[in-house]
Amino acid sequence: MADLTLSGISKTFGPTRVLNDVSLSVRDGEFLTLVGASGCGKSTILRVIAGLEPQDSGTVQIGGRAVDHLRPKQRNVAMVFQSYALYPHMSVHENMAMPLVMSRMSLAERLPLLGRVMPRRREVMKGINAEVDTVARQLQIDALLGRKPAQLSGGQRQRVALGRAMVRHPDVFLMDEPLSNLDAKLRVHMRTELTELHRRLGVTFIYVTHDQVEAMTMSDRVALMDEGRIVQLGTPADLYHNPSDLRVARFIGSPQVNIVSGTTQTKGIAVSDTVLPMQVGLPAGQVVSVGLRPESLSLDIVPGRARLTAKLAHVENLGAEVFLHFILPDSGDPLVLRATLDAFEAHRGRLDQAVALSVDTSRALVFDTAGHRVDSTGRMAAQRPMVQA
Amino acid sequence: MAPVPKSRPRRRTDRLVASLTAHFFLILGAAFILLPFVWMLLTSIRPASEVFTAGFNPIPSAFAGVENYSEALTKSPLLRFMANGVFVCLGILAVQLLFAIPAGYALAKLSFRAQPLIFALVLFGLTVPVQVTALPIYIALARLNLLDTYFAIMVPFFLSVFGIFLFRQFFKSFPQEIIHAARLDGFTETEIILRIIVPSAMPAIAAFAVFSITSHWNDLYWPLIVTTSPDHATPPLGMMIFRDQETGSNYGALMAGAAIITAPLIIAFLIAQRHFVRGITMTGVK
Amino acid sequence: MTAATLSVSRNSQMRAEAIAGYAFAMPALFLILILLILPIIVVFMISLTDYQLGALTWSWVGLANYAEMMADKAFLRSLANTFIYVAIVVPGSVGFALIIAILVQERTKSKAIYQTIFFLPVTTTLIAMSVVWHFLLNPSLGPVTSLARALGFGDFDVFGDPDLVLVGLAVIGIWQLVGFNMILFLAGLTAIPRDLYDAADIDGADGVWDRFARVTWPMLGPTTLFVVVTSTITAFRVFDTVAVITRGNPMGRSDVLLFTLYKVGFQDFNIGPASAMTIAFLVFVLVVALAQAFLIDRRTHY
Ligand SMILES: Nc1ncnc2c1ncn2[C@@H]1O[C@H](COP(=O)(O)OP(=O)(O)O)[C@@H](O)[C@H]1O
Ligand SMILES: [Mg+2]
Repeated sequence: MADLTLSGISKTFGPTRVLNDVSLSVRDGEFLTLVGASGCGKSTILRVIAGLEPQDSGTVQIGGRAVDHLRPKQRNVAMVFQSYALYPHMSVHENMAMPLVMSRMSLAERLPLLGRVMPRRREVMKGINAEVDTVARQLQIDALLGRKPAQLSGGQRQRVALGRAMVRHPDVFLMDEPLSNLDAKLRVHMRTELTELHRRLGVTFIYVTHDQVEAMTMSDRVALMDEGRIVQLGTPADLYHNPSDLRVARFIGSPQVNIVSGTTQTKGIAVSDTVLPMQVGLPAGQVVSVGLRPESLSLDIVPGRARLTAKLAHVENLGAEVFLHFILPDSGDPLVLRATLDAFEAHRGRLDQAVALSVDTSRALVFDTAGHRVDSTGRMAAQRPMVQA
Repeated sequence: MAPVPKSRPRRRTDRLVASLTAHFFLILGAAFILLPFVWMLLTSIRPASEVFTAGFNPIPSAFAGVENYSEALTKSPLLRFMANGVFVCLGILAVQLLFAIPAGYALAKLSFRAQPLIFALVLFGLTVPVQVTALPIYIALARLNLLDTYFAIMVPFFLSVFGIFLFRQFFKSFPQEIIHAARLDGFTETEIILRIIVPSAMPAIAAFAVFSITSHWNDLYWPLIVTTSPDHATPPLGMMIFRDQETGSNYGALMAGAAIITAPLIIAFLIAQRHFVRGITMTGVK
Repeated sequence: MTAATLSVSRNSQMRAEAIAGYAFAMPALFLILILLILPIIVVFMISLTDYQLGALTWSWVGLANYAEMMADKAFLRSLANTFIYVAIVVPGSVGFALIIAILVQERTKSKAIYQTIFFLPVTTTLIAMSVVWHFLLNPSLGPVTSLARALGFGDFDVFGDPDLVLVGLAVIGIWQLVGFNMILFLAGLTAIPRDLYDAADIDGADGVWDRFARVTWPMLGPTTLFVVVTSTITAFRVFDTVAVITRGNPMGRSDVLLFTLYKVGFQDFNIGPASAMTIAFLVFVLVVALAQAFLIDRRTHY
C-alpha cells in the first residue's frame, strides 16, 4: 500500500523528448488512469515508475521514499503488459510462481538440477505453491495451472498476467493497455472485473490506455497526456465537463465534442447565424473556438436559448438513441446532436429542411486560439495539473 | 527539485563496464577470425627471403607485392581457374533456376495428383548431400566418357531441391487472387510464370543466386573427383594444384594466389552484405 | 449459368491446372529421378555386389562389402575421428556463436562491423583459407608457432602431432562455422519480445545468469536445436581442410569419413566398400534429420 509521486520526470530517446517535466501524485489506493493518443509517452512513464527505464531527471517516490536508485524488483511494483509477457515455456503455475521463486530462493536453490537437492527448497516451494493456488482460485484460473500460455484464450492469459502481478502483493499495480488485445465484448466485461479487483485489493492502480471510454468508466482520476506532458488531471467528470484545454475536450467524449468557430462580441459570442449569450471576459472581436457537446444541442425549441440553424446531413441510429449529423450552412462545420429516438421521431417530418437547434450555453466550452479554456472572466477555467493533488 | 540520486551514476558505470567487457571478448574473437586474412595479405606482399626468417613479425620489411602477385598469376593459370569457376557457377545457376522456378510454382500454386509425392521427394532430397550420389554419377559419367568436362563438373548440381523448396515457399505466399485475375485476363500458365511470378520472385532469385554461387565456387569434393586436368579446374581445385606446384618454396606467391581466389567473393560480400547473409543463411528456412 | 455448366467449367479449369502442374514439375521430377533417386538405388545395389569400375560382369555378394567395411581398421578409425571432430566443432561453434550473438546483439554502433567480421569466413573459399591456416601453424615458419615459441610455450606442430591434429582441424572448422551460427542465433534473439525481459526484471530475474536461464535460453530452444543439427551435419561432412592440410596424416589420425570415402572410392576405385560407406554416411545423415524432425515437434512449446 503506498502513494506514488512523480516530480519533474523528463526522458529523451536520442533527439526526441518523450517525457517533458511530468509531475503527478497518486493517492494510496487510488485508481489512476493515464490516457492519451498512442506515442504520447504513457508506457514510458510506467517503465520509469517500474525502473525499467532510467529517467534523465526527476524523482519517483513510492510510499514517501525515493526509489530512483532501486532496481525494478526492489520497488515492489507489479506490471501487467499489453502483450501479457507470459513466459511461453512455463506453465501457468510456473509463470505465477516466478516472482516468488526469484525473491524467496537463493541462486543455488534456483539452479536447474542442483537446486533440487538443496535442503530448504521443498519447504519454500510448498509455501509458494499454496500462495499461487490461492490467487489462482480468486481469479478462477485454478483449473488452468498446468497449461502453457499457448493453450489459453486471450482472456485466460489476461488473468494469468494479473495473477502473476497479484502473487507478490505489490504496493502499486502498473497496467499497460491490458485490455487492448481482447475482443470488444470481453473488454467490456474485464473493465468491470478490473474495477472490482481494485476495490477488493485496495491497492494503488496506475492504468494506461488510449481508450477514453476505459479511462472514464474505471478510474478515480484520469491524467490526460499529450506529447510527453500531462495536459489535465482530474476526475472523469471534471475532464468531460470542465476540460482545461481543447485537446482534452476533443479527446474525451464520444461522439466527439462539436467545435465551431466564433467571434466575441460585447453581448456574447457570434457563431454562424446566431449570438450565443455568454460572457467570457475577452475583448470583443476575438476569434474563439466553442465546444458544444452533442447533448447540449436539442431539436426541441427551448425558450430563452440561442438557436443555430443547420441542415441534417445523415442519421446514425443506435437504437435507443440517435446521432444526428448536421451541417452549418455558411461555414460547413459539422455538428452532431444526440437525441432520443422519440425526440427524433417527433421532429422527423421537418428535418428535410434547415432547422433551428437550441443551444444550452451553460455547458458550452470556450477556448482561445491557443486552445486554452477561457471562462466568463477570461481566465483559465480549469486548473493546470498540480504536483500535489 | 529533488537532487539526482547518488546511485544512478553507478548504473551508468555498470553499463560502461559491461560494454567494455563485451568489446574485449568480441575484439578477441574478431582478431581470431581476421588472423588468417590479415596474415594472408601481409605475406602476399612480403619478400620471399623474409618469409623464412620472419617468424612472428607482422610488418614486411619491403613491398614485394608485385613480384608475388605476378608470380601467382604466371606460374599457374589462376585466371583460367577463376574463369572456369565463373562459367561453372553461372551454368549451374542458370539450369537450376530453369528447373526450380516452374517446379516451385507447380508445387505452390497448381494442384495435381502427383504434387504431394513430388514435394515429399523434394523434402527427402534436402537431407541428401552430394557425397551420397557422387559414386554412381561418377560411374555413369565414366561410362559415357564424359569425365573431365565442364558438363561433368556441373551435372549433379543441375538439380537443386533446395531451390525448388525455396521457390515453393516463396510462391506459397504469393496472393492467389493475382493469379486468378491473370487467368481471367487470359494469361496462360507459362505467361503467368514469365510475366508475373518471375518478376515478383526477384528477391528470392537473388538470395538463391548468392547461395548457389558461393557453394559452387567454393566446392572441392566433386570437382576433385571428376577433373583430372587443370583445363577445367575450378578455383579450389586450382588452389590445390598451385599449392602442390609450389611445395612450400614461395609462400608469398602462394598467399597471393589465395588472396586472388578468395577476393571475388569477399568483395562481393562486402558490397552486398545483406544479400549474402540472407542467401547463405536461407538454409535456415528448412 | 446453370450448375451443370459451372461444374463443367470448374472441371476444365482443374484439368488445365493439372496439365500445367505436370508440365512444370516434370523436368524437375526427371532430374530428381536421375540425379537423386536412381543414384541412391544404384549405390545401394552396388554395395551388394562385387562390381568394379569398367568391369563387364558382376555378381551379388550380399553384405560382404559391409562386412569388409566394418572390419576395415582405416574406416573405423576415420569414423571415430569424425565423431571426435564433430564432438569438438559442434559445442565449440554453437557455444561461441551463442556468446558472440548475445554480446553483438547488445551493441548499437559496432553491431554491423562485428557481424561482418564474424561472417567473413562463411563466404570465403575454405580451400584457400586452409592453405593459409596451414602456413599460420607451420611448425618452422608459421607466425602462430613462432609467437608461441617466443612466449615460451615451446615447439609444437599442430598438424604433425597425432594428438593435436584433430583439434587443429576443429579450430578451423569452428573458425568457419561460428559466424553462420551467430547469424542464426541473432535472428532467434531478435525474435524474443522485449516485454519478456521487462517482466523478468520486475519479477526479480534481473541478473545476467537469471535473464539468460529464465528467458534467453528457453526462448532460443528451437533456434539452438536447429543450429546444433546444421552444425552437426556440416561438421560430419568435413573434407576440404583434411584434403588440403593433412590428407589423413599423421598415422591416419586425421582420416575422416568423407576423406576415406574419397580415397577408397575415387583413388583406389574400390567401388564395393565405397558404396557401403556411402550408404552408412546416408544413414547417419538421415538419422540426424529424423532426430531433428522428432525433437522439433517436442521442443517447441508455442
Ligand atoms: N526504447 C525506445 N527508443 C526510442 N524511442 C522510444 C523508445 N521507447 C519509446 N520510444 C518513443 O517514445 C515515444 C513514446 O512512447 P510510449 O511511451 O511507448 O508511448 P505510448 O505508450 O503512449 O503509446 C514514442 O514516440 C516512441 O517511439
Ligand atoms: Mg504504450
